[in-house]
Amino acid sequence: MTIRKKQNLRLALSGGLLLLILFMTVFAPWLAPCDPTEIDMTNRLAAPGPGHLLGTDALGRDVLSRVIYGGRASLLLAVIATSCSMALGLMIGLAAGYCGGIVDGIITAISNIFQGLPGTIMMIALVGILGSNTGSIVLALVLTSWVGFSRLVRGEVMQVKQELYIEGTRCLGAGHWRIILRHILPNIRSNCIILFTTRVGRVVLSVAGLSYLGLGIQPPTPDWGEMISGSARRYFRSAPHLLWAPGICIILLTLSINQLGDALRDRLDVKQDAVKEL
Amino acid sequence: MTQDIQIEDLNVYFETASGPVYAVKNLSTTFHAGKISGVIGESGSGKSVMGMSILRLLPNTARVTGKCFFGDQELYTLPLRQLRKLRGKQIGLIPQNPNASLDPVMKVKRQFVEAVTAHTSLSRRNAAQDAGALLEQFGFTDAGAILDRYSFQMSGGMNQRLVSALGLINQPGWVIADEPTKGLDAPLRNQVYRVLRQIYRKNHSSMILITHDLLLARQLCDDIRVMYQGQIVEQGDARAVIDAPKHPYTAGLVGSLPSRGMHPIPLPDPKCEGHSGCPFYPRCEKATAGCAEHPPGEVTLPDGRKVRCRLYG
Amino acid sequence: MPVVKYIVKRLLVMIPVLLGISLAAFLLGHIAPGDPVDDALARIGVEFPTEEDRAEMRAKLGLDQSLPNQYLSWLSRVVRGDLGNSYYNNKDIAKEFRARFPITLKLSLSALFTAVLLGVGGGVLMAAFRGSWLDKLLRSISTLLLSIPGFWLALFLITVFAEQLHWLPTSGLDRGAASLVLPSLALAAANVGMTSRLVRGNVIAQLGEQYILVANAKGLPQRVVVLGHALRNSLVPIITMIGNYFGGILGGSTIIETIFAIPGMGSYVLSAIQNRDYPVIQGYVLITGATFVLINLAIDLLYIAADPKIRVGGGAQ
Repeated sequence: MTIRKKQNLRLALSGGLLLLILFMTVFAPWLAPCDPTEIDMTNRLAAPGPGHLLGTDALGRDVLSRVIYGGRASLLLAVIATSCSMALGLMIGLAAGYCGGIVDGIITAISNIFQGLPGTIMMIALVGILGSNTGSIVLALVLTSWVGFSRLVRGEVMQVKQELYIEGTRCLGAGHWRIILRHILPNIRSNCIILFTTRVGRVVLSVAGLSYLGLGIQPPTPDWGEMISGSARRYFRSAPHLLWAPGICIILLTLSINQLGDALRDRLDVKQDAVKEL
Repeated sequence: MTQDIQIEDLNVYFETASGPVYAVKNLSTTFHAGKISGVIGESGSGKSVMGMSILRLLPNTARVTGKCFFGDQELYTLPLRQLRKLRGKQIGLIPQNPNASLDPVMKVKRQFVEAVTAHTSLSRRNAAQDAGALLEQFGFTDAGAILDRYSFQMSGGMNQRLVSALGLINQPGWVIADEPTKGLDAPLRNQVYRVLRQIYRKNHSSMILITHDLLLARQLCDDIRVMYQGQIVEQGDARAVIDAPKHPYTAGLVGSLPSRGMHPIPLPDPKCEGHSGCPFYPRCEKATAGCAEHPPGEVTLPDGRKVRCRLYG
Repeated sequence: MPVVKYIVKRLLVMIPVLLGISLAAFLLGHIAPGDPVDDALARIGVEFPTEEDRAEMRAKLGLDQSLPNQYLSWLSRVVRGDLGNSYYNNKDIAKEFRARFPITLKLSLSALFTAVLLGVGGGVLMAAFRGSWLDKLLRSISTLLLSIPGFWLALFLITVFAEQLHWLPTSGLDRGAASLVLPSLALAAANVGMTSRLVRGNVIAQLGEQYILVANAKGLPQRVVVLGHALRNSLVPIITMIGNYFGGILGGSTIIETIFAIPGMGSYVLSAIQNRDYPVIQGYVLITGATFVLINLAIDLLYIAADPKIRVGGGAQ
């Protein structure tokens, strides 16, 4: 098997697993056997068996249905937040790299400060103060992760700007936007895709952590992180499946995203250090 | 007593995304003890790969088949642990690119000391004294200060002398010098030339000199192998080969020297690609139709040299 | 002296980041929902304040000043170690943090140590036996570690090692080093994954360098080549990464402390969030932020040992 074929196989495997999870999440209303929020106090903490394949939780809700629904909120949140950070990072990085000079100096100083702030702590503090709603979680995620994108973009822009063909196009009278759209963006595409993928993986874990603390996705919305914190923590001795099912889902989701990122990195032949983990 | 190094049927190829790429093909030769053996050829001819294969210092991606006898030991299958005892102790290396050959975060002294203590029970202090004495032989007047430096604090010429000394610190019976003049300017090349001469005279070391520098090879070597695309196309006495080359490729190399009128070897004729014959056929001025059909065998000429060309067989 | 110049430069770089952290902590208090004047009055029992009450309280809290002035007076109080009193129980916040900070620091540092030990060890093993079954196994483990949420791993470790095998305590800190093992492992897990991958990549890159070929040609044992040369040369990027991780570890300790019932800063701030006790959150950001910066400064000093160019001033003469 050639190296290229191996790379493609890995890409297909990780992508396939991710697609499977996405499929489950998107078509949850059709796949779930029960209503994930329907409480049945007469049937609490039922063991897995017919009727409830994965049993029920402390409020008698069907665990399987909650697992099937559980990725929706956090995945959506992760994709939205990462898209926002990417958009913000792209704009700031483009401005820094393209304008250079004093603009670049100021932006670099600000990103240094943002990088100096410990991300998780800022996130907990922001969500803690603003209250745990979608808006503040997205804000916290964006504020703590735009620097990665802007650094990446700035570096690439600086490099592309140096290259002669840009000088050439400028001599031919190309406008700034044309240079950005035609020459700079295509150059940073692979790096952005990879950073986006790894970021989404990271954010899924962060959101799960927040939910576990009770600061993320709020009940009764089914969420894997929240499922573990809610009942599983208290009952995991008697009902370990409450811990296993959502945990494995989070792990599989993050694993497939991380693997996809690695496979993309190899396949698109991007130098390891080009996408620094931040 | 030092023994000959005898390579038999060596093949080296690299696994790449587009299949195996051969660096050395069906190579057999003997490096005689007590002599300076030259290996010349253009970059990419496989001469360094051949040299590094003897010490098994090729990258992980290289696949090696064939045999290499050093006395009664077969180096390509020798357990790595035993080979490590032999490296530096019996066969030393003078690497190419001296500026990158020393560890950038370790003082020169420690790099010499560990080379000694890996093979002997000498104390660190005695090893350092040995290193200092050797450096003085290599023309360093302030050996103590030099040993206390890092490689990035020194010039290319100093690093060149340092790595040469490092290869010889254990007085190995054999030295493999891999392109010691590559990328150096004229004064430095002369310095290297002097150093190699000195090594040979003082230590009576046998030497394999891998170089693309024909004049260096002619001045230093007893015998010479000319490599082209992973094969030895001509081997014999150094002066005979360079003064009166038999193989068209050797003739082309000699003819491209500035002193011989600087006639370049022609680029491959695109019409001749995709043949199964002599690898030099597309560039050869003396090619005949038969050259494209079968690869030429090795012919021994009356003066003892071996040539791989249909002109002689 | 290149070393002094280097240290001074590091210290100068630190200042704007520290100011940035203090500004962030200050602004956090400002964006908090609710009217701070009304809240403050409510805390002293004035449920239906008059305009005069409010003006008086506004002046007392310094809120009638301009924002920069408020920041400066807040900063000068904070620098003197006055983080204010809790909204919830009116206790001195700084005093509470002083009791809890060493616990969190101990946990975080032991997690950092675990991450470095396991990450560097695993990474070096992977690089030395690149392509072998060991490399594949460890690489799979490191990828897995990157994908496991810390809190889930913590619960898993408790189930296995505390509840079933009874080797280690489930919670608290009363059994000394043994109580720190599980929390440190859970806290370090993701960083072990990242460190080992980073170490593997860097060591493998170094193993392809010319000076490694020369080290091998000297006949050095493999152990010396990998540890003494390749790893030694990979230290600079590894140290950089470890500094970055410490922020994640400090933040992650919030979750781990709640799970293992460790009375550190994390559990304090979580209860403060539930009680809308904003000064505590501000103090938390300030203290952890400053710790993060200081630890990074200490780690920056490690570069002096790792990179001789800093010591001798670099470059060919």
